Amino acid sequence: MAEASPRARIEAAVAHASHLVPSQSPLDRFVHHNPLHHFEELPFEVAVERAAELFGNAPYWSEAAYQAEYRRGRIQDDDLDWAIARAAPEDAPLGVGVTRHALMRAMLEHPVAALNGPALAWHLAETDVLTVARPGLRPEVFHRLVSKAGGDVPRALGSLWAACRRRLGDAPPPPEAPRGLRLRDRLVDAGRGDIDGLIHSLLIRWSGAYLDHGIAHWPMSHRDRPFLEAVRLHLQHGRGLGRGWLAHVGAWFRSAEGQRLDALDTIHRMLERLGHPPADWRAVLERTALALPGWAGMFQRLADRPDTAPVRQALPTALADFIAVALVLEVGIGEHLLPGKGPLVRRVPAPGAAMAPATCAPAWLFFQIAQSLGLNDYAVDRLDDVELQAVLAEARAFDGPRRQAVLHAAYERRFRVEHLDALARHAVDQAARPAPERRVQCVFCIDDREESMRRHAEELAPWIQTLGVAANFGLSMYYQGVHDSRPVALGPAPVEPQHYVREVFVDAQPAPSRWRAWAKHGINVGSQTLLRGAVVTLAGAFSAAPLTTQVLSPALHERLNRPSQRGKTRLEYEATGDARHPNGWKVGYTLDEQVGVVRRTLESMSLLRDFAPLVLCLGHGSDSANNPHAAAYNCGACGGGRSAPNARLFAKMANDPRVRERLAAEGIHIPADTVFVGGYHNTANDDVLISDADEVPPSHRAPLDETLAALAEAAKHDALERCRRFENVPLDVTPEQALRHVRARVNDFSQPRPEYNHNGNALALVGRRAWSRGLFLDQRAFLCSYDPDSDPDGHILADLLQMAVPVGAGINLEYWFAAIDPYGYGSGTKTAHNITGYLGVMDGHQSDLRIGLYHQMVELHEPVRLLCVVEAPPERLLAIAQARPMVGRLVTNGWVLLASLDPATGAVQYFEDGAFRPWPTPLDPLPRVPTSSDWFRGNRGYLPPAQVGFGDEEVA
Amino acid sequence: MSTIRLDLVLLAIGALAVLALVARTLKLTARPTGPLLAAGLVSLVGTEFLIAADHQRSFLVIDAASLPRLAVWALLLWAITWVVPRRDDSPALMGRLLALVSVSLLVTFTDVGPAHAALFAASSAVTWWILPHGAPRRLAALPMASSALIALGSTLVPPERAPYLMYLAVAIRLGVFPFHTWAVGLFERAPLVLAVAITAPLAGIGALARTPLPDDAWFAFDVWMVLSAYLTGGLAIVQRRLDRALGFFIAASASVVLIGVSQAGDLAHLGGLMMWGVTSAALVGLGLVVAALSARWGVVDLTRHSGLLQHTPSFAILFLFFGLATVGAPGTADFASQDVMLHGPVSHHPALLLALVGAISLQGYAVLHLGFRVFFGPPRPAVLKDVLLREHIGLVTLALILVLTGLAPQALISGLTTAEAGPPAASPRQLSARVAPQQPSLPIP
Amino acid sequence: MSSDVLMGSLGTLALVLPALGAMGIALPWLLRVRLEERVILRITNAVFSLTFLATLAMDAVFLARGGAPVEFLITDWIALPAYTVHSAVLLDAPAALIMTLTGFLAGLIGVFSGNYLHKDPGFHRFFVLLLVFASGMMAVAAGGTLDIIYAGWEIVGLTSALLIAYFTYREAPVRHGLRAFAVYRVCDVALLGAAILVHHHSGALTLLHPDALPPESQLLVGGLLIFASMGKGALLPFTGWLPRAMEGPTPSSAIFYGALSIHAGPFLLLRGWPYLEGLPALRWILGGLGLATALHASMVGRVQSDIKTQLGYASVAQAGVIVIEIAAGFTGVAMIHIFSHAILRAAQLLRAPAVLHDWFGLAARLGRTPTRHEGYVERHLPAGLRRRAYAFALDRWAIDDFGRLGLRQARRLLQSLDRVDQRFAARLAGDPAVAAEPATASPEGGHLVNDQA
Repeated sequence: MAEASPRARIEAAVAHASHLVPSQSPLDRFVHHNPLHHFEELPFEVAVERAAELFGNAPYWSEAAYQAEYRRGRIQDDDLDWAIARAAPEDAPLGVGVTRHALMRAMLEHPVAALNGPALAWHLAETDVLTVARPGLRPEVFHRLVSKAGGDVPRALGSLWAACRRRLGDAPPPPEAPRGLRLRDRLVDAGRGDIDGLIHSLLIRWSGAYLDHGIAHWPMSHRDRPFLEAVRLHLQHGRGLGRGWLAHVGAWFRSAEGQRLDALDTIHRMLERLGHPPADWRAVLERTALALPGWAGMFQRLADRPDTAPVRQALPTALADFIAVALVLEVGIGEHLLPGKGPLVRRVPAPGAAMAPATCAPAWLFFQIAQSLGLNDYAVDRLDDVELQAVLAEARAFDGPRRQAVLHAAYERRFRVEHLDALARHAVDQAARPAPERRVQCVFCIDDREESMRRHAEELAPWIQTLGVAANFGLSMYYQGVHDSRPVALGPAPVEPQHYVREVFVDAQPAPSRWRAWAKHGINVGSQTLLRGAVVTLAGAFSAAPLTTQVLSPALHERLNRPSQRGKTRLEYEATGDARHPNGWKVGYTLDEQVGVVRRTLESMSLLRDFAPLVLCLGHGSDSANNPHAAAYNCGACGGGRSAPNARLFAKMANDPRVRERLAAEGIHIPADTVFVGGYHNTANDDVLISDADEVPPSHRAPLDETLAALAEAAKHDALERCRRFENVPLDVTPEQALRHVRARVNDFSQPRPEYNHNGNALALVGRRAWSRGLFLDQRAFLCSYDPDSDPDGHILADLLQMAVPVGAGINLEYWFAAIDPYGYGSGTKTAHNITGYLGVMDGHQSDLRIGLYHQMVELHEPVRLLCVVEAPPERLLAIAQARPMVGRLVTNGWVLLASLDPATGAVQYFEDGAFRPWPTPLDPLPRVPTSSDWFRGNRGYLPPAQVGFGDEEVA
Repeated sequence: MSTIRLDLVLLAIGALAVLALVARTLKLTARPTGPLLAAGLVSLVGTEFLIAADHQRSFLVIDAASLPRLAVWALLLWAITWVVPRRDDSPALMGRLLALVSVSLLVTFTDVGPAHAALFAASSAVTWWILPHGAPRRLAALPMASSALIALGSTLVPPERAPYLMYLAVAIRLGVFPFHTWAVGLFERAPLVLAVAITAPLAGIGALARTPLPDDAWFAFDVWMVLSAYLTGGLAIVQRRLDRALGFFIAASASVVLIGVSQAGDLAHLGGLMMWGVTSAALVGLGLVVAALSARWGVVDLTRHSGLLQHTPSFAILFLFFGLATVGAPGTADFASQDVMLHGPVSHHPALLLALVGAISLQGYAVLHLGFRVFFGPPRPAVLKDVLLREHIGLVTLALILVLTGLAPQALISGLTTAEAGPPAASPRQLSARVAPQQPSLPIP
Repeated sequence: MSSDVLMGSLGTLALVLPALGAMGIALPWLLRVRLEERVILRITNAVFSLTFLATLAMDAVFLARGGAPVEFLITDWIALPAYTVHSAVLLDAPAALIMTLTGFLAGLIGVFSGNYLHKDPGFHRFFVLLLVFASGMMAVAAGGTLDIIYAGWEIVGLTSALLIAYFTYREAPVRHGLRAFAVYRVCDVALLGAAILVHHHSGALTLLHPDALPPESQLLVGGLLIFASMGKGALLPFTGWLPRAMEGPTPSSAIFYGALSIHAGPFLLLRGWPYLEGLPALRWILGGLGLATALHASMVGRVQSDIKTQLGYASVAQAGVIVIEIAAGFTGVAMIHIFSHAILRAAQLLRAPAVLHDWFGLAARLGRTPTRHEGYVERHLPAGLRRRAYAFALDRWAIDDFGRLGLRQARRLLQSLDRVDQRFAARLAGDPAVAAEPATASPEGGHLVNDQA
């Protein structure tokens, strides 16, 4: 093991790098996942900081951002105290009445400006830092500061500054000399420019050409060979007019032709030419891959899951090839820049002077802290040298990143306190209320966006009981609708589906007018060629009309271009014999499988008895007109697809008498008069549609119509609630106007925010709806139905958490990181995106493939880790965490926060530092409002929980 | 008597500027108030005396070249003293600035050959005096002395030869290539505001306002200046620190303006004078922006993007505005003056025109290059304050004046032409097309 | 009021209105007032609606007059005894066409961007630049003298560079904005030169009267106009900046490089047609440039795998075709081509982010996944040649390297001059620190960074 062969070492290093590169699928299969998936073995805070260093991203928001939150009350004093005590468990006196905690507190409340040299001199000369005390000092602190000077602030500050300067001086500590690892890093340190620009300009072009799934007219040849080989075949002729380094690259490729070197051999040769010792190999390869993480990740992803590619092609992608090409280019440039003999890294000249980072001059640092603490010049002079240095050392140690971490902890705690308090209180109030009548059951996805829809439905029609379940409805299939050109996977992302289901027209349907599509395609493609283009563009003035309607009236444009009404369709889902799809999937489900699906799904929503006569199962999805990331807005449980077919198929199966018979034998009795109806909720424009309506028996038509009317009304209010987030919608619109707005919005191709998706998600409730019904949760909660009474041994809960926690954490953490650093962990601003290869987006002309959520999607999000509140005793939760490592890892390392709600009493316990601790039920009542609208009207930001529909009732 | 009315307007501007200065200095420290008031009064009284003299040729004159200059000087002095970073601001600096201005004004108002040259020489001595002790002064001593000596020498040669020497003296003073070393060196070593105050107003040109370059020298001189404009413009682009780049940029602008001014008696000479006024105002604006930035940030490194836009958006806009205003951006006064000025070179040879336009183009690129380097790119973490109210008022006023004169350049020109009886005397180099221009049929509303 | 005064006034209105709008947004900044997005949008939409209406009214008058061009003097901008700079507009068919197009597209882009850039930190900047650009484009189209055209030309170039560098916090847009500006500046030399030449020889307004020039100056002016049009029109060998200009927000890419700015080059040729018409040699050269550009752009465009670059090259290819049309003398066809191509390409670029939607929508209608490369002709080449041709196309014919050859030498020369100067100054001033400082970065270091694609 000690002396692995170079090849094995390199292979291991590439494998290591392959975990670090992002694993996002091509855009149309966008699925939320934790960007730091590979770090889940570490405690959350440690991972955040380590990853920030590795990827060069921000670990937390800037201090200023948190301070703004503090000023507006989003972070409160007791949050700060709690976070400080957590970060530094031991308080210690530091001299003249100053303690460690007081010092930290002072540094958190008032931002410390790091100044030195000319900047400091400028501030002293031009600003009022020496004449006006820092803003926001508490009166007693201010008094202490200026009382000795008789209230003369400039005099007090002047002598304080003089004292600080006398004692500490204003020379900041010298910066450290940089030491780069890669050849590129060393060249940067030596002031010779960043050669990554050159490497990447070629690497991106060729990667784009190689991975292209259909944008280019003229595809790259030899794409059936590995990337390195294909590039070699093209670049071996390179002479590089004006770019001598291309000649080096070409020469290497020519010499490599006869040697049959694969990617690993090439990497080895290149590492030797660069002169990296074997001990550095892993780090060098890791950083080479992470210099262009998006493209590297796409090579890896298409190798891992070729089925996620938008078109099936035989592309033998591998991360090793990508790294090999990058290294060949780096060596070529190195040879050109640093002519000579010997390993390249040793030819780099010594680094020049280091750029001074923004460290703070000691006197200035102390001057600011002294003001925040109310220390005047006498106090400063009373400190002896040891104490003074101790305070300074404490202050230095509590540097930017430490302060950010503490501030963030305080920020998250406020949310937790607010919501756990509310849940605990609401549970008590709710226990005293009678259960409402139940005539209809509506099953929604656990998605946080359905929270408001469910709340409004229950508010407007109390006879509706809503349930939450992952909207793949236990199905994992390749589905091909009548309008789909290819099957899409509808099921949880990590699982590769095994079944194939097709939608067909029942009655003979005239073929869609293909000539129009062909003509459109022809014009579009033709306009980009030379000769056809000349003809097409000469007639291009006719596109003025559609352009005008698209921009000025999206609704009209949509109406004019809406495809003709579709005919009646059915799903083909019954397995007949052992039929297989050409791709190897089973065609349809056998009866056994159908029973399994229905049982598992009913179990997972704990709907095993008390069936209402009508059970409406709604999948969901989201429409938009101009959004490469549309898949991210759809159903997470369906891997970025719309889950309408799942709901439809599930309803079909659950209505099947054969299935019901078998279920009855297994102890689940679905009454004969219970009808399941599948449907679809469009979360962008709030449409609610149902499928196979013609199969609903006449006895159930009236209740169905009544339910749909109620849901339509709820949709209006849901639209109203969502519209308050859109800054360009006035706050005083009516529900009808709101609905009209969201309908126009989804068709507007100039709209980068068709909806706000999972913005705000921070809570997951697993338990009976009774605990949360009537609580305003502001679209922030995943709501999972679970009834502990029907799960005596806890296996349903274990399965449920195994499914829901990683999915919820994936969404939540992807939002968390993108909201913290939208340009590092996210894909930056959407307005610069440029679709490449039908795979992903680049920024502008050529850049890394941008991975993750874009800024417009997360701009309102509050980065707060998911707080899971589960209706189960703590012991059971601990047992599940033990038995299911996927859940346990997330919970024990703090990636997901956990609380238990006692099924009998509603008492809350919170999991912290490895143990559950009781969360006291607050005595203060929650705010109460008659309807949700009364609570959110006139507000744009996030609102604390409130009790809805309690207005006219007397509650104990 | 439109001349007098215009004079009064200009006087009013001057008086306002002086009042503003007084107000500002009173707030600061009382010491420079005396010299300031004196300077203001000298210029006012002197001007009034000269106007009363009804344009009699005397030792001091008010005419096309000098009068607008008074306004420009008052404006620049006000702008510099108003915007100067407080750290650099001292009574000593004020006093020296005022001395510089007074001598420059005297040079501008002088018209008798030998006295003119002697004053110019004296101004070199004053400039030397205002430099801080030590390195900058050593650096500047040689060129200053030689320019003074050459100017004095011009009084000894026959009058028709004197202009050669004066032009040489001014070229050395303005630091055109290859005499740029001292002027650019100041930017690294002297307080930046002082370096700006010495070089950016292109003060030496005042000595040439009435001194046409003899015809037999234009070719050599123009070729020299074009070469200088290219080299200094190019050097501004390859600099590694912003202050030096600014020094080269000013030298490049000086080269272009010198070509314009050297076209004596021609349309282009007028253009050159217009350009002188406008360019010096824009260069001072640019210099003050750079000085304000350097005071906040230290030496600005050009080897990589600094991304200061996020911290100082207003400075970014002002930097680009003033920079572009020196290279004839449409909407600023320089556009019109350039248009007029370029008619000089074209009458020599179209190739000279293209070469000169190319040099101006290069300067335009330099502005964007420097601006993008400093303000664009990934932001660096820093505590950096954007423009202060005081600086904002000073710089925006300067910018507004440039825009307003740009929109109505006729006002600028009137000041330069109506003072004299007719059009500038026709030079032999004039083209016939200019004498009898073809008038197209235009419907005049 | 006579019809030419009416038409001239309408044209002037269309020219001035956007600039006034820009001032309306920019001036509050001077007073440190930050306008709300809503107000900015209201100003922009009002201005563009009025502008578009003015151009339409102008077109109506123009048609009613039977298409006779109007030269209309706004004011004597500078009047000297022997020299005048008029600000005048020349309204003829090409001017009317481009002005209408500008009014129409700028208005639509304004509405589009109101949503698209909502909450963007550069919202103000974008709209000021868009309005200024519209005024500049109007000046190019309506300019009655080359001076006015040059003013508009400069404004278009400057706003273009600033909008390419719109995302200032990334280095690539900044670099590419500067690169585009460098190309503009090189070609602007020719336009300013031509303007001064024409002005100098004729004394005033003579866009339509090339006869006032001596024959050799006519040739020179014609040549300069062709050179000037090569930068904005992205003709060879200057094509390289255009695909890189796709760094700004999508709407600015659409209006600049799909619709208006790219056609400013061909338009200038239409404007200068009187100078070119009688000079067959120049026309042959122009045609050759157009042909080479069209071939280059279509070949390079075929291998691009991202949608914006592909559309960028498609635009250039058609610009090349338009230039050929002009060289051949089919100015009418060229005008229609400019008009139609601008609208179509703007629409396509605006829809570029929706290309995935469109692709799947198309697939749904066709019943299968469409690819573009089913019928590409290059597969008939022998494999070795095809590879070479492909690499050559992906390398963009290595045209970016031509420009670098001379620049690198110039840069080295200047850097060594600078070192000499610094050492000299250090010795003079006697500061040892500077004298001892090594010649830090190599001359290579700097340019490498700047030359990246």
